[in-house]
Amino acid sequence: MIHAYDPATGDLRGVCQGPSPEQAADWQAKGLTVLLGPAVSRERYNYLGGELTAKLLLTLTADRAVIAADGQDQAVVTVTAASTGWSDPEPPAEPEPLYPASVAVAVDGVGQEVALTQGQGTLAVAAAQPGRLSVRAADQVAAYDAGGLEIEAR
Amino acid sequence: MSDLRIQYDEEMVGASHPTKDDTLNRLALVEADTDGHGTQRFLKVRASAPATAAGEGVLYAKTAGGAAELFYRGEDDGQEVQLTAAGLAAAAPPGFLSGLAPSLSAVNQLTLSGGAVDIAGALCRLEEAAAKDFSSLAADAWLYLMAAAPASGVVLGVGNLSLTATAPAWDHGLAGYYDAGKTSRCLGAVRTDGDGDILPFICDGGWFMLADALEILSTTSPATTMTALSAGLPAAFQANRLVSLQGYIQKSGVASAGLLVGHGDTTQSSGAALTLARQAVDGQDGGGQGLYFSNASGQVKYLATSEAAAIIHLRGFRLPAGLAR
Repeated sequence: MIHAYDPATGDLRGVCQGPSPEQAADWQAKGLTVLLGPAVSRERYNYLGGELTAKLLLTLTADRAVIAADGQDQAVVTVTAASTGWSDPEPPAEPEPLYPASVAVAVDGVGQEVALTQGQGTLAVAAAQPGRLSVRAADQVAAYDAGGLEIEAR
Repeated sequence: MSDLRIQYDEEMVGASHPTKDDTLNRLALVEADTDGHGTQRFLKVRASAPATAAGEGVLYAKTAGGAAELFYRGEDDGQEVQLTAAGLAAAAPPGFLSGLAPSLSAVNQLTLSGGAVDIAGALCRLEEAAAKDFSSLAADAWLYLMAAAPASGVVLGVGNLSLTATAPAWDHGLAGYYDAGKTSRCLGAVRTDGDGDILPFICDGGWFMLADALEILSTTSPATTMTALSAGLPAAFQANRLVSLQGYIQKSGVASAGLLVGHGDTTQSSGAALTLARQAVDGQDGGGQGLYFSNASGQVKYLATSEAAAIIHLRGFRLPAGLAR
């Protein structure tokens, strides 16, 4: 496989089957670093530090999908993170997961740090205005959140 | 069998004698009528092929697979061709393949339907469906399903089947894809995932389709001019293939975005391309699928109408002559 990543951010911008010299040249012309790598899901890996690395796996779940848009009612989002490399479908048995102390989560684009204990923490989400609130990993290069989740405020 | 030759102590008697048996024509009449035309030809089993000189060939019977079978040998001690096997025709047009369609019956288990295949001049048969388990397969690779001719006879067993990452090559004389030694013929190809497990597929006559499509491009920086891209086909038969692709494109902030694909050798900027996927609503995935042709290098060309998240998958491809059933 051919990988292309942004050397400034470590974001894995492209993965394609090889040989594809024209595609590789197009990525290089855009300033991306092009190299050969294994077959991986582009969304789940990055090149932070210049090495192919599995993203922080972030699982977001909410106790409620709908809250009242009164600024008081809250949904509790459970944030589960693991910084170990992992593979689909089974996480590796070794090494033991190394849990980060905290992780940045963006609610409707506004980031906030969530403290984690043994890889798990919670976040309260409230809204004063009706609408759909997206809850995502704040750093999409560093973390994979499988699309995150949405909470509807009515 | 009795000895029908006229013996030294017999009288030489011709046909239609009023009281005596015909001795002179007795031997000839076993295989010919009274008009001299043949009625049948018995062939005694020989231990080996008769020698032939220039300008002649020979038909003969020889034991193969425990039974007397019909063979032909061309001039100058040419290649022996077995014409029958276990009561059935053993010869077919070069490259003949019927049945032997593979399916994935369990994890890393391939089942082939019964059928017949010409392997280097011998029409070999799989008399009923047979399953074979494979293990320790290479990950993320196309593997070629090969059938080797049996050591004796023409009946194939699962022991004659193998998977190899070594690409076979088309042989013009044998009209099939063969290994370097031309002893094993390719029946198809399968794809493995990252764990070395065979991806589910359907082999339907002339088509090979993956149940879960193979990602050949995933990018947030797609080309915006026609750019060649490997279609992800098996190297042995990647050239000029009809391929089935599916694609997705997604971009926020614009009403529409398109992903176009054309033939791998097109020199047109986009006029020869067909839309693979189009986003119709701002920020929402647009998906689609279509049929395209690879070029001699197994590539197609694509472009995105603007910088967007784009994905192209290979769903399957049309099998070439020699593999299509």
